Amino acid sequence: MNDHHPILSLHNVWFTYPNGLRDVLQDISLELHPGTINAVLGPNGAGKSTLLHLILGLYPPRRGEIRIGGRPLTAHSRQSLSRQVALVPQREHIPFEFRVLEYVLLGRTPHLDFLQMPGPEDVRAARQALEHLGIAELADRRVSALSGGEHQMVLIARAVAQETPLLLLDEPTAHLDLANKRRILVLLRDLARRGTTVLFTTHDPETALTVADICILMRDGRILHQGPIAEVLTTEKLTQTYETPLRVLPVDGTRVVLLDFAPY
Amino acid sequence: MIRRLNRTGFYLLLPVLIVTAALSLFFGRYPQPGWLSPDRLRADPLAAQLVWNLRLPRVTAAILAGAALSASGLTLQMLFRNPLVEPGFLGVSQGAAFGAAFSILYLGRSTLTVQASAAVFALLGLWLTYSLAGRFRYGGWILRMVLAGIAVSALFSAGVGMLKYLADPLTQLPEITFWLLGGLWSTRWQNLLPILPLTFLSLTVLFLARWRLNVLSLAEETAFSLGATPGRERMALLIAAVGATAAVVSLAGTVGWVGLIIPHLARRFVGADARQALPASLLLGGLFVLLCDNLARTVSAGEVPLGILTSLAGAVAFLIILTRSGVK
Repeated sequence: MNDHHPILSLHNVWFTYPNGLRDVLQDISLELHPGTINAVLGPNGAGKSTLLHLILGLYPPRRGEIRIGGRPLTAHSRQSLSRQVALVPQREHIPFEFRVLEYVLLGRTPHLDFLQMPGPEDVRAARQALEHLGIAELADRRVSALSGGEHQMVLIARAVAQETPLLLLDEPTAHLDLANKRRILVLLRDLARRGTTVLFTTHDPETALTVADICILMRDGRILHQGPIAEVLTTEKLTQTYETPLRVLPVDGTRVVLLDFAPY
Repeated sequence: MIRRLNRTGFYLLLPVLIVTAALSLFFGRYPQPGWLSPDRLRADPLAAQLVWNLRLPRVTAAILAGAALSASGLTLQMLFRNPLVEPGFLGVSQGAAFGAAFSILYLGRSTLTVQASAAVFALLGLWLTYSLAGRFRYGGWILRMVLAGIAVSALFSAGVGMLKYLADPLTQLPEITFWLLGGLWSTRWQNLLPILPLTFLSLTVLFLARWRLNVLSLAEETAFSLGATPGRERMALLIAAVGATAAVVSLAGTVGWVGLIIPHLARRFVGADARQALPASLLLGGLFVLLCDNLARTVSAGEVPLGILTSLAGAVAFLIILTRSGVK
């Protein structure tokens, strides 16, 4: 881990949607370091997805600065930014019957010139991404015919084929059963081990506990706490974040989060 | 495996189209319904005139119209992420119809005037739709464009209704009606040539940008994360698609269903990837309209409006597809 050069940094970022009345993000500062897994945790409507959209450059911050790879976001061209940051959206409805390989190949677009078609190396990179995720056998299937878990894996494969140092995932495990959830989390670990910096949002503390190195607790557009999991995921801080009674209990060297029904 | 065969089969479409086009030149109602022999063509100056000055521009126009409507249809379906969109729905077809009717009543009934007026109003239809959509305070951009398109189309068809009411029922009204039904009977070199530059330019843009089309068919944020500038790129492709449509509609009138059904067939044969689906749509669309137009000009002594035949064949094909395995 290199603490001197964060791959992504936000300094006092404020954001309001065009025509919006309130600040969706308020005074956000954070730094991500290479090869770490970072979880943004918070209740629905905390501003987690908006934070990802700002890092993508989809909207400019109202105030403050975002730097990626040491350069201000505004100094990147669209193409150079897309070689730095990849996104796995929360849901991607694909209205046409693309094959899995064709869809994953779209991840190679940042490495092509404007009207260039992907070549054999791009097909190789796309197949490699599928292999790396252990879903090479899906290559010729139709995306629309996949199960929820497979679909999520394919979305990630498309982002992996993009070969960016920073990977953003919006609620990557939200609609998955336990086995698929575990598959995704193992995969994130593996990507981080190979040097990719991962930033994902979740409203589920267990997910963050399982894989993240760093946790960022958000509520109402603000960061309440951030730091190593052990320091941040405590009964007191989580209760404050979710504004609901819950308890963090030590179990077998790790921790579990329980809703606190005691008052009833 | 079946898909592989289909893909190879699809490359046969080009020679099939060329051969069909060549045969179409010898097919018609002169000197009698059926074939014109090559000997006759050499001996009979009238036959030669007919083949080179009537049939050749008409065959070319049929192929171009089919190719342009199908490629535009595929493009709009992908840009709007909706397989049920067709090229006319942004106010383009109704705009062209209004322009043609307006010209027949007030500007002049020569083919070129009607055509120019139709093209101008078709593009005006798009412009109206686009600028109205920008003013709506409601929904995402797709919904806004669709709503604005419906409103603009309704305005123009009300206008067409008004013009039909005002038209002279003996001279102007039949002409408007026939134009609205769509057809290539009036195609000559002098009204085909003016639409060639816009048609070719637009189709070239769509063909070259077919990978971008794949990218733009993804959700907004995904396309953006892949380095696209969705707003600007979408606008450029939209203009190309509508430009091609306006050009051929100005010549052929409303030729229905081609832009909706052919992209579906093309996707069925070669898959959704626009790298194959776009060229497949161009070829398949050209072939489809050429065959329909051959029927239109030979089936009876009078001309059967092309739009009726394409709608009939298109709607039947659509029903077959829907009842067999769903929309693609």
